[in-house]
Amino acid sequence: MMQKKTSARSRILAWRKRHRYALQVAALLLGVLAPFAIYLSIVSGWSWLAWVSFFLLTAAMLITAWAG
Amino acid sequence: MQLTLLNWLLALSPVLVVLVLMLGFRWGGSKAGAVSWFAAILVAVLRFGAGPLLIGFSQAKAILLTLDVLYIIWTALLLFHIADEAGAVKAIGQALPRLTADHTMQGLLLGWLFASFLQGMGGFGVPVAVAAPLLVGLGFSPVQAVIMACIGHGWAVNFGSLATSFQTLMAVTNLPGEILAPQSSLLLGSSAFACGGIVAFVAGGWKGLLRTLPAVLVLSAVMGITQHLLVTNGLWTLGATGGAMAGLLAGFAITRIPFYRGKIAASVGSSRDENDQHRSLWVAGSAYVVLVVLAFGLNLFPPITAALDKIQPTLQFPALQTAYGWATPAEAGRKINLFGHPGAILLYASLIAWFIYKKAGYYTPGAGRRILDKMSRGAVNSSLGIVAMVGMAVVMSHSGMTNLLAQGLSQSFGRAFYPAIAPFIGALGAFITGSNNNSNVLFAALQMRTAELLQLSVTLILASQTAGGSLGSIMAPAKVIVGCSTVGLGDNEGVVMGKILAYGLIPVAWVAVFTLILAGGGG
Repeated sequence: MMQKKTSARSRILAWRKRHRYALQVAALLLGVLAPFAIYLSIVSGWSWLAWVSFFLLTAAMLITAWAG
Repeated sequence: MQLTLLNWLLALSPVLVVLVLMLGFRWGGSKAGAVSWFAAILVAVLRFGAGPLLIGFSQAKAILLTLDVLYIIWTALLLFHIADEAGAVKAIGQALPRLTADHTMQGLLLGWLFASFLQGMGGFGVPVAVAAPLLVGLGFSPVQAVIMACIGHGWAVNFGSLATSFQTLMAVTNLPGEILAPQSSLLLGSSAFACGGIVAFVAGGWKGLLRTLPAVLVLSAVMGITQHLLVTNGLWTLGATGGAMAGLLAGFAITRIPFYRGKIAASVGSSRDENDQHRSLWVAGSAYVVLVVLAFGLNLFPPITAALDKIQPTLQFPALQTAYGWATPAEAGRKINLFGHPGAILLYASLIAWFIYKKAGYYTPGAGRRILDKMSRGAVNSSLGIVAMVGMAVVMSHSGMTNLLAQGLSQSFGRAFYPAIAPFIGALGAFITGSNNNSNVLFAALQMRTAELLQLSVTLILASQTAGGSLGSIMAPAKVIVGCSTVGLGDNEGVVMGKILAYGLIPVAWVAVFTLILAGGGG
């Protein structure tokens, strides 16, 4: 059980290493575009879309913290 | 929000997170920035009464500030890699030591003047990565080489990289460059002498320093004055580049003096490899000549500037307030001058330089793809760090956290001592985050507010912040690691780090004394 967990973890880390650059590019695109989406959603009165956009910005920061 | 120790520490917590993660856990700026972004949002919402609207709009404001800076970073890296791929950087670096046989002068030419020039054009660790191996090739020890390349360009960071850090200072404080530039260039120009003196000392000991002291004095005056003239006339993007170029030209002239020329060995003159023999130094330097001509030219023809400045998109923001009453008035966000921005000028220069090098046959097949790849790989991670840290800094200022920090600092240090502390805060920010730019993002608003509370000159304290950041960035572990990796000192970063800290604090202390004198004189 323990061994399975370790190998899953090392697989994830190896995947992150392989795709680090792609993850960073994705985080950058989200990090740059999401704030504009937040702004447009708020001024248009679509608060649900503002929350979705904020969630995307949070996702960008999580990816950055993980693969930056 | 009341100023209590708990509130002050909570306001400081996002900055502390960056500090602990980067210094304690050796995390990179982007990872640490992202975690501190979460810390700032949580503290702003849970303790400082920031609502969803304030958080949402603050992030939109932050991205406009970020894009203003990223425009320069990406295009500056593009221009650098266009020149580097053509072999231009190597050709310039190899030509310099052939001017003199004096070892200390060679060290000054490469470790001080050339490194400063590279900082002006590229930055982002490039001066250390390029100059350190060239210095080792001249016979300096790897430790000497990294120290010289790091310390030598410290004065040029703020107005270097096409003034990215200065652009950020303007963006974060919302003050025009015309107001901020004079004192910034005064403090940094004076520190050029300290940087040059340290390089001469590391290269040739006391004997070398005493012999080259007149040259260091003249060269630092030439660079400092040129930078001052450029930035006080609106050309801050060319401040460090112009200063370093004038320094290089003056350096060429000084090496004509027999006292500094010495006997040049024949082997030094023939050290270029076969590829470099075919490259003309003038064509190699054309990327930078084109940039200077464009930047000057566009400023000299107001109709062209006016035409380029026509498209400046921005967003309008309403007044915002926290639950505890900290208010931010309604305002327009940062305007992005699409075609007249320093980043746009870099882009034009990059395209012209590409055609010149291509016409001259300096590129091998696949060069375009390699240039774009290197630019992108160099810029993506640092861009992420800037997105996160600017987001954090704007949340902090809009929720009143920055104001509370400033109140605490102003009450602790008082009016008399704060001017001497300001450059060390800038240096600390740059040391932690690895860049003058990020230091300005983190601390410029805080320093501005503290100066206002203490009734000190805001422009002087901000100049001191960015000068400290400029000189502190050369001590950042990230830069030292880059330098060590290029000269085979991969396992000895700690030794180099200790020495760089010891030498690097001298110019910061120099700026602190100058700031104190200027503040005392009503500056």
